[in-house]
Amino acid sequence: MLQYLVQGILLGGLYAIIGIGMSMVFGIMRLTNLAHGDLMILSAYLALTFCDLLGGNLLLATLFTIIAMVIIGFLIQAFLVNHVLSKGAEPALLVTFGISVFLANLLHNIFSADYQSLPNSLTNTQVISTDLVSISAIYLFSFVVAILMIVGLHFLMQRTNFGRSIRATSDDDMAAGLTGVNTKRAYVYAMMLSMAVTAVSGVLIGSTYTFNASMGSSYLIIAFGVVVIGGMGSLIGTLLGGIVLGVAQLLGSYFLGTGVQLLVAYLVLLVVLATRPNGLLARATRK
Amino acid sequence: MSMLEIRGLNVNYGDFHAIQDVSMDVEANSVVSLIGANGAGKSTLINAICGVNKIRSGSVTFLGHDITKQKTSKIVSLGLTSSPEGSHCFEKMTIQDNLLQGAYLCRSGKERRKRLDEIYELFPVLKEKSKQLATYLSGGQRQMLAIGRAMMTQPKLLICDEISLGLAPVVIKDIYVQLEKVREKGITLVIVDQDVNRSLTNSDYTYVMLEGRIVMAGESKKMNIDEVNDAYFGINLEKKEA
Repeated sequence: MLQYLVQGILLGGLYAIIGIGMSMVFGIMRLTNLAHGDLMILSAYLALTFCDLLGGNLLLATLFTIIAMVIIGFLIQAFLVNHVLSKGAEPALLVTFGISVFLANLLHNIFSADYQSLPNSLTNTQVISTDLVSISAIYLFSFVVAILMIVGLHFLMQRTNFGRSIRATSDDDMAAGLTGVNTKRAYVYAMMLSMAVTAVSGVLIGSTYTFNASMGSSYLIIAFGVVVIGGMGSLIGTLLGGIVLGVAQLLGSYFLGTGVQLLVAYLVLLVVLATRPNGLLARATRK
Repeated sequence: MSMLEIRGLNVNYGDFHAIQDVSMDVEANSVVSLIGANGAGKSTLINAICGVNKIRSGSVTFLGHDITKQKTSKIVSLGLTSSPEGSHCFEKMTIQDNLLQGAYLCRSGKERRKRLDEIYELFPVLKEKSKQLATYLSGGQRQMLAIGRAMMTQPKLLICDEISLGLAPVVIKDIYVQLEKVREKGITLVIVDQDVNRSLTNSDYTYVMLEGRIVMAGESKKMNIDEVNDAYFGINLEKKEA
């Protein structure tokens, strides 16, 4: 039981990382990025490719992946999403759906449907291994990275001039413009930042599990669950959402068996939606 | 040359010709009133000047720069901004963050703090509530916040749109007192109001708008309130044109 609980919390860290990028994009531009899962899988493949090219140095490959994803984020926002964002939520949603389908097929064509995994030395290492609990290093690492990223992003958004301008733009873009913010550019920066986070999540997912080109949508659903439970756009809520989902899944597995663990996780999601439709940590505003 | 020069401006909302051939001048260090009934096109005009609305034809020149097709962010950096109609505060941000956001283009954190202190001196009530979210402010406080935020950009020309809309007379009086202090800081003001009497007494020059056009303009002191009222409501306009 303790093992499942600890494992669930740590899994929650990984889930939180999956959700952060999506939560940011939603929080800032009210855009549900349906391509989020595929972009994560793309990151994993990019890391795999860079890793091969760099002779197995995953850390360096991660750095290159982040840079590549930031550039992709720029292209997506500047040339696709920004053009339709002013026309309401649906056109932008469809654009991200298009990106999702495009990426899944592109990756399938390049990398085939074979399962791959990233060569991470942490994957098969146990940090703690007693009769009562054993903790895998990759999960602990993911959890720590999740907390560091959330604290870092929170600081960036709340305490810096840059973060304030992004929040202002998301709050009221006309008024933000009147304070001198180039609002279209602010959205581009937000997407680039989100893609940097997505790159890290892709590498962690690729190190923890095997992946193939068609798995984007299943991670999208996890990201969706995390973000909805935590409250769309709330960074701290993302961590909470991840943990709730992770613990629900593993306790479900403990009490009811492995087969229904994801079902239990999504039941919790439904309960949260029914009782707190805005998520656990969403702030109520007058608007 | 005037600080702000508008020549032959036309703005459309879809097929609706909202602003028709408007020309206007704002001299440096003056207070200019822009009055007109609901739907006369005041806010559309202001938003067009600030780059929020697209301009169909005509030109806007600010301090010698052609800003007709400029981005809002660029126009603000030149020293022109507005406190928009309906105040448009950042609801989910604190009062302090709202104000600091006004100084977005200022690179130095120290300078931003200095400007913040100046605004708190001008609007002490904002200092008391500095940690609260803007969404909890009253109408008058929101208007002050919008003006304070606009002043944080250190404008040379500040346009205050619908300064009195929905506010109690005593609050309006208070805001005009504070605008006088803004003027004393050397900021040129364009004030949009619906009250003819108040506009004429508080400004150097007045423009009257009706159905997208400037129908009357002149030095506020020399204007006859009855004639302004007629122009405001479009009475006897046909006779005058004939």
